[in-house]
Amino acid sequence: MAEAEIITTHDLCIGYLDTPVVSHIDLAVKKGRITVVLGQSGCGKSTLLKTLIGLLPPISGRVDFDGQAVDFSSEHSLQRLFRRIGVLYQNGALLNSLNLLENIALPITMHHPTIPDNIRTEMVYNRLRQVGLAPDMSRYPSELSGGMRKRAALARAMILDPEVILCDEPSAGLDPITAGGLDELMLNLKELLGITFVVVTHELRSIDRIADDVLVIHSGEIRFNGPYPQLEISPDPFVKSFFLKQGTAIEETQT
Amino acid sequence: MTQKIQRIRLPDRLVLDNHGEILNLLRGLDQSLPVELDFSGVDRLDSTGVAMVCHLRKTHSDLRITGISPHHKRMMEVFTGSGAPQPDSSMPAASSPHKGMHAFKQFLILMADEFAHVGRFLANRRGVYPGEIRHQLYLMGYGSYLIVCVITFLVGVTIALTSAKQLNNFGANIYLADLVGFGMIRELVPLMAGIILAGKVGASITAEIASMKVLEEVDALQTMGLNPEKFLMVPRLIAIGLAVPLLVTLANFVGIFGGMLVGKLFSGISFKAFYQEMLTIVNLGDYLFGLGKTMVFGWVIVISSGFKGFSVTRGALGVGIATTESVVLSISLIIILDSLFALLVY
Repeated sequence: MAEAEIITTHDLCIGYLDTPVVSHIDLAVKKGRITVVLGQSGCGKSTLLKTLIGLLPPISGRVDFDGQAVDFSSEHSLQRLFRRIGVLYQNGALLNSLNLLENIALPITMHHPTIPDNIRTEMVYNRLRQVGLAPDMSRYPSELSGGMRKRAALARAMILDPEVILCDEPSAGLDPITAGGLDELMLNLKELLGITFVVVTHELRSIDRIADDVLVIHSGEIRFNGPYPQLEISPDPFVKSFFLKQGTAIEETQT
Repeated sequence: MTQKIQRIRLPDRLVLDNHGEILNLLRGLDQSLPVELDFSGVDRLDSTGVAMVCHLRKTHSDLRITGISPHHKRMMEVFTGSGAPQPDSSMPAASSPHKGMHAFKQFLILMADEFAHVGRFLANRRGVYPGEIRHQLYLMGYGSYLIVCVITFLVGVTIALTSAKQLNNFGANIYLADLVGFGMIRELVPLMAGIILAGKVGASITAEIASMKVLEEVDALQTMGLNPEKFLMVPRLIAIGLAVPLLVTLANFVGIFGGMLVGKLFSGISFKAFYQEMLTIVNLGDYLFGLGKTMVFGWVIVISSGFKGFSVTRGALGVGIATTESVVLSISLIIILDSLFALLVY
């Protein structure tokens, strides 16, 4: 039986000020799987992520979330999308004026102010325990390491039980052990809670650990879109050079 | 008829320390005619040589290269980064009348939105982070009162000193009280408080919001389903509305006291006489007029600072530029509005 798709795009063209960055994107993110978007720096991975999370309207094409088209001009439609997703930003994007408890509780405090303080604290504590930061609940973001900030940001992204978490370069700037820990965490969340992940990265080790499906972007187009094991048999020279390490991507572009 | 081709035989050293000779060779080329660069004699090539060829390619659409060795061809490709994303030259110019109009429109939209958000907050008390108004009031009020007092005291002293000598010459010492009281309450305190708030509060709002934008915190708020403009601006607008009356009242007392001190020391006017004379001219309406002006200045500072903060684009550099622009914009708007107020009540 085919797995249900939670995010789909149809002939999507994304970019800034009518300048396309990537065109003809037909993506299908399947529920309960980790889809990795990869490509060289500046290829449009983060731009795609911005469109998928509703922050950047596409130049053309359509984004569907759980079968419903996202209307980028409708505040109501965007709010519906925001309620069902969580986002892990590259630098964590925790508010520096709030401690971890307040940061992670922010979506609850603002959207559900009637939830009592002790319940809210319990919800935050549970999430922080899942990411291994429970003892640091009262610390401020500036007092945490890069890896801790990202784990805290993941806890915030999960706090309202989103169906999909979209991550922008979660391993960037982290040492291999910390990055591995974050990957483990995502795999656990996928297995235990059935959360769907869309992960933008170019870390090969991380892709190898977590990817179920892969989307490869290069030179403004999709060069591979499918299950991770099929990457090995992809005939695309860029995919080969990028992934199978047969030379560098730069060399490929010049042949 | 065959088109004439401009053939240039390049020297053996297409490098930085030979750039004068190369420039001489390339100078005076006709842009309407094709150019052929003969690389056959080139022995050494560096990034300067490559840059010159690249520049020539931009100015002469029909540029041909002959006799280039595989090694130099490879160097050209590596230096020019073929395959790497090129900067978009079709981006609009950084500054244009169209952009200015667009920015002005955005400013007005933000202002209208913010006052609507404040109105909705006052009606339903939702959408503002708990304790944030108190926190902002502390930063704006407690954080600014000392500098506002020092500056307005010194302005009061300076105005009184400047006027006292002239008034003493005419035996009109007592009118120093009218001049200081009226001038401080209606004009100088609102203006000085506005300028100080623009520098202290405005700059801090812009820097904070711009940094949040650069660090994707504003995006994060949005994807949490929060309206960043409402979340960040409403507490500040309410806080400045509460801080201004306190600051203005305090500044009026301190500024006038500075004038009183000068009156006592240099014009022999007792505190009591100064006070009684001042009350013959200054009334509650003047105080409310000055207060109203400062409230408007305060809101303009918060809106323009927020506007600059939200429109930041270029990382840390952009934060610095936005902060400077916000102070300049706020002070300019304060002075323009002050002139309009003066004209209105003339």
